[in-house]
Amino acid sequence: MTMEPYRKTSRWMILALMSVFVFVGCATLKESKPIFLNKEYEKMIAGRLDADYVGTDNCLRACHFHDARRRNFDLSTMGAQLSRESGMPIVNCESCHGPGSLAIEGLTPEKVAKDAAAGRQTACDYKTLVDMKKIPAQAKSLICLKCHTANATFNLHNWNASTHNLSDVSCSDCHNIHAGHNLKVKPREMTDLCYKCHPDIRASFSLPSHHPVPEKKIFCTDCHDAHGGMAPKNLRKDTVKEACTQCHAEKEGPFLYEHADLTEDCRACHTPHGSVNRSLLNQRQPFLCLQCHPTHQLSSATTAEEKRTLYTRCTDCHSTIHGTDLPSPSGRGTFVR
Amino acid sequence: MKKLIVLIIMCLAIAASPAIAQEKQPAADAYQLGAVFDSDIHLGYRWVGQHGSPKSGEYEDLHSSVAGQAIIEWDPLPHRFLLETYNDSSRDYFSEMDYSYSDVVMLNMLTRKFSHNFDHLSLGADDPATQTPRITDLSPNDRYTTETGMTRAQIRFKLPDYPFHIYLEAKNQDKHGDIQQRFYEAFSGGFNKMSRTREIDWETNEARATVNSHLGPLEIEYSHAIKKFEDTKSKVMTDTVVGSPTTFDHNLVPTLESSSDSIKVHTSHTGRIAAAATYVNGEKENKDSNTKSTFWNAAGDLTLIPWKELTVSFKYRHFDVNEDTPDFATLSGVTGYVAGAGDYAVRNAINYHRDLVSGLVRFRATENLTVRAEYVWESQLRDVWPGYDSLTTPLGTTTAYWTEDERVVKGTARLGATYRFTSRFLFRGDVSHQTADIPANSTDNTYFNTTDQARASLTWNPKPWVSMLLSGGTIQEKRDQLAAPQAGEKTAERDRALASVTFLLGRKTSITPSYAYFRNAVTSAVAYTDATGGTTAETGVPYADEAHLVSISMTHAVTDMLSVTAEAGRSWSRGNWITSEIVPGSIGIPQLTNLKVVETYAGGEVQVDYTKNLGTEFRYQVRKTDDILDNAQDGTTQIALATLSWKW
Repeated sequence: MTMEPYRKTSRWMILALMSVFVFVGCATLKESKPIFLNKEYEKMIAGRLDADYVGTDNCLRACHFHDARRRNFDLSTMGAQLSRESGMPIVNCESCHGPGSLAIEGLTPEKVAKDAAAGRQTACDYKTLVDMKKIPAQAKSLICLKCHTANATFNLHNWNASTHNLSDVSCSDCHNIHAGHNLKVKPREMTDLCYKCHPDIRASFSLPSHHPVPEKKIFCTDCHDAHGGMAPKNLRKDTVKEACTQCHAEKEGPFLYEHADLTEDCRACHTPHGSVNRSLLNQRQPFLCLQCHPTHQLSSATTAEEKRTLYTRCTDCHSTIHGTDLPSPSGRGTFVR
Repeated sequence: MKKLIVLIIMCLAIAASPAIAQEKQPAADAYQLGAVFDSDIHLGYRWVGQHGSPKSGEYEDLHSSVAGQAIIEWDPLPHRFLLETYNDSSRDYFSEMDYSYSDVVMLNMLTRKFSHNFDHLSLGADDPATQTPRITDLSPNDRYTTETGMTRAQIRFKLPDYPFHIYLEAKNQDKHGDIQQRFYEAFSGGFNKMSRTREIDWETNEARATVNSHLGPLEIEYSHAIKKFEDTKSKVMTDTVVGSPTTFDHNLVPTLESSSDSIKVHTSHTGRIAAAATYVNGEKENKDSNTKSTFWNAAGDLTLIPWKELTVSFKYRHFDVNEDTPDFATLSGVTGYVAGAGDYAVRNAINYHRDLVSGLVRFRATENLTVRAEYVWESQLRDVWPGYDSLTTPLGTTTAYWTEDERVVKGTARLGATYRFTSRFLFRGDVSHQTADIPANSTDNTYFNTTDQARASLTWNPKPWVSMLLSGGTIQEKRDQLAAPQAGEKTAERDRALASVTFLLGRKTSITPSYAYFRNAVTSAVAYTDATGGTTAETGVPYADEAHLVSISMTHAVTDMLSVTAEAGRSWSRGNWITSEIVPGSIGIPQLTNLKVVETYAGGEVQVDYTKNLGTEFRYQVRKTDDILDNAQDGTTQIALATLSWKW
C-alpha cells in the first residue's frame, strides 16, 4: 500500500487552505474596486456636499420613532443593521439617504417633543437628502450595489446586463428596504409584485390551463430570477428545458429516443403561463402535431371509430412523446411505449 | 511539516487580524432595537364542496380539514429567526423558515405541497363489433390526483469580516399519487388504445455546494451540483395483449442522474464598465438505456456606461449538447412476441451548438424619454447525420438521419421607448423584426422566415382617484415554404389586449374592473397519408383559439377594524380548426377540433379585528367550469375558510 495518493491529496488540501487564508488576509482584496468610477451617479447618491452626518439618533429616535412602519423596520435586516448587537456591518439611515444635518436644521428637541405629544411627525427638510424619486433607476440601484456587489448567493451575477436593469427597474422597485427579513420579497407576495408591471401575464394565468400561480401554490421566482441569468426571459436556470425540468424531472432525459431537438426548448409545443388548450399546449392536438408530421392512413373507408383512433389526441398512443428508452414494435422510436 | 504548520499559523494570523480589528471598533451611533418579537397566528377550518369534474378545483386539496397560518419573527440579536407557514391541509401547505446568526450563518428551509386534480380523459367509445381498433379503459371510474411536495434546505457560512462564502443546498421533490396512463397496445397487430390508473412516486434529489469570494476587482464562484430522479413505485408498466399470452412493458420512467460544475466571475457592479462570465460543464446519464449526454454552456456580459444617459450592453451565450446513445437496443420487456426479436439499430441523437450574440443601446434622451435599440444574432448548428442512409432492424430499415436543418441563423432587431408625457401619463412600447435564414431545402417546420412583434402599454392617472391601464400586443409570423410533405406556407397571428381601470372611492374603497383578450390564429398546410401510403397536403388549414376574460375586484375598509374584499370573473374560451376533407375521412372530430369552455369564479374575504390582538377572517370562493362541448368536464368547487387570529 502506497501513501502517494494521500500525500497528493494532503498537498492539494493544504494548498487550497493556504490560498483561502492568503486571500482573506489580504485586506486590499476586501475592497470593492469598480472599473472606472461612475462619478455622475456617485454625485447623485452622495447627497448634499455641504451637509454633515448627524447619526441615527437624529433620525429614528428624534422624528421617525412613531412611524407606522417602524415596527417592520426594527424587524428588518436594515433595522437590525443599525444595532451593533446584530453582529452585521453597521448601516444607518444616512448610508443610503445621505448626510442629514441640513434636513434637521432649525429643528429643536423641544419642537419634536411638542409635535410628538400632539401626535404629529415633525417635518424635516427631506429635499436636502438624496432624492430617491428623481434619481435614475441605475443610480438608485448603485446605492444598494455598493454593498451588495459582493452578494453571498451570486444572484446579482448577471444584473448589469439584465432586462430589468436596462429597463429602469431598480432594487427598491421590488425590495422593500424598510421591511423584510433578509430583505427578501416574501414568495406569497411575489406574484402580486410582478403583476404590477406584467398585468398581461396575470391575465394569462386566468386561462383554463395554467400553472398554479394564482392559487399561490408556486411562484414567479420558481422559474424566473428577477436579477437576470444566462437564459432569456430572466429564467432561473441556464436553459428553458432546465427551468421546466426542475419540477417535471421525468421529462429531462437523455432518452434513447429523443423527440428531435424540440426537447431542448419546451416552448415548441407548450406555452408557460396560460393557454386555452389542455396541458398548456400552444395549439390543440392533433393540429399541433400535424404541422410537422403527416397523419396515419385515412381513406373513404375509414370508419368513425378508426378515425377517432388514427386522427385524434396523438398522445393517447404516443404517450412517451417527451422521449423513451423502449423501441416501438416497428423497431423505431415512435414514442408509443 | 513544521514549516507547513508555521505557514498555516501565519496565514491564520493574517486572516484573523481584520476580524479582530473589526470587533474592537466602537459603534459610532449604536441603535437600540425596538421590537424583537412579532407574531400573527390564525387557526380555523376549511370546508370544501365539489361535484362533477375536478377541473374547477384543479390545484386545490378537495378535502375539508383544519387550516391555519402563522408568521413568527423573533430577533434576539445576533440571532434572527423568521417562520412563515400557511396550511390549508396536510396535503396543501407552504412553510419557510429563516435563521441567521450575525452575518456568518444563514439558514433557509422551505417546504411546500399542493394537490393537482386531473380530468379523466375519455378515449372514446369502443365498437365491440370490430376487432380493431379497440378502445379499452381498464379503470373507467377512477379519479386522478397527485401531490407534489418540495423541501429545500440552504445554509450559508460566511467568514467573519470577509465576503468568503460556503453555500450548501439540498432539495427533495416528491410527486406521488394516481395518474391516468394512456398507452398503445401494438403487439396484436391492431390499433388498440388503452388507459389505466398508474400509481406514481417520482423522487428528485438535488444537492449543490458552492464557494464564492470577493477578491478586489473580481468576484469568483465555483459550484458543483448533482441531481437524481427515480420512480420508486411503478417504474415500468406491464400489460397483456387481450386474448394473447403476449405481455409487454411500456411507459418506462427511467432513473436519471446528472452533475454539473460551474464557474462564475464578475467585476464590481458599481463601475462604468461591468462584466460577467459564466462557464458550466456537465453530464447526464439515463441509467436504464445507458444514454449519456454532456453539455457545456458559456455566457459573457459586458456593460458600458460612457455617460449617465447612455448604456451599452453586449451579451454572448453558447450552448453545446452532445448525446451518446447506444448503437443497438433490444425489444426488451416483451414476452410471447417473436416478430421483433433481435437488435434494433438506434440512430445517432442530434447534437447541437447554439451561439447567441446581442448588443443593446439604451439612451435617456430627456428626463422623460428613454429609447432602447437591440440586435440579436443567433445561430443553431446541428449534427443531423446526413451521410447516414438507413439502419437495419429486425422489421426492415429505418432512416438513420434526422429531418432537421443543419444550420439556422436568426437575426432580431428591436426598438423600444418609454415616454412619460406628464407625471400622470406613461407610454411604453417596442417593435421587433426577426428574420430566419432557413435553408432552401429545409426539412424542418418549426421555424418562421419572419416574425414581427409590436407591444405597447399606456398608464394614465387622469385624476387622483382613477388610474387606467391599456396594453396590447401582436405577433405576426410567416413561413414561406414548409418542408414536404406539408409543402405550403404557414402564418401565425397572436394578439392580446388588456384594459383595466382602478377607482378609488374615498379613502376606504377601491374597485377595479378589467378585461383581457387573447387570440392565436395559425394557418398551415397539413399532410395526410392516404390509403395507398402516399401523402397529400392540404394548404391553408385554419386553426384559431381565443379567450375573453372579464373580472372585477373590490376592497372596502368599512371601519379600521373591519375590511371586505371581493372579486369575480369569467372567461370564455373557444377554438376550432377546419379541414376540407381533401383526403376522405380527414374531417375532424368536433370534440377534438373544437373548444368551448366557460369558467366562472367569485370570492370574498371579510376581516374583523375585535381588539388589537384578536380577530377573525372569513373567506369563500366558488369556481365553475362549463365545457359546452364535453359535459364530462363540467364541475363546481366551493371552498370556505374561517379562522381566528391572534397577534402578539
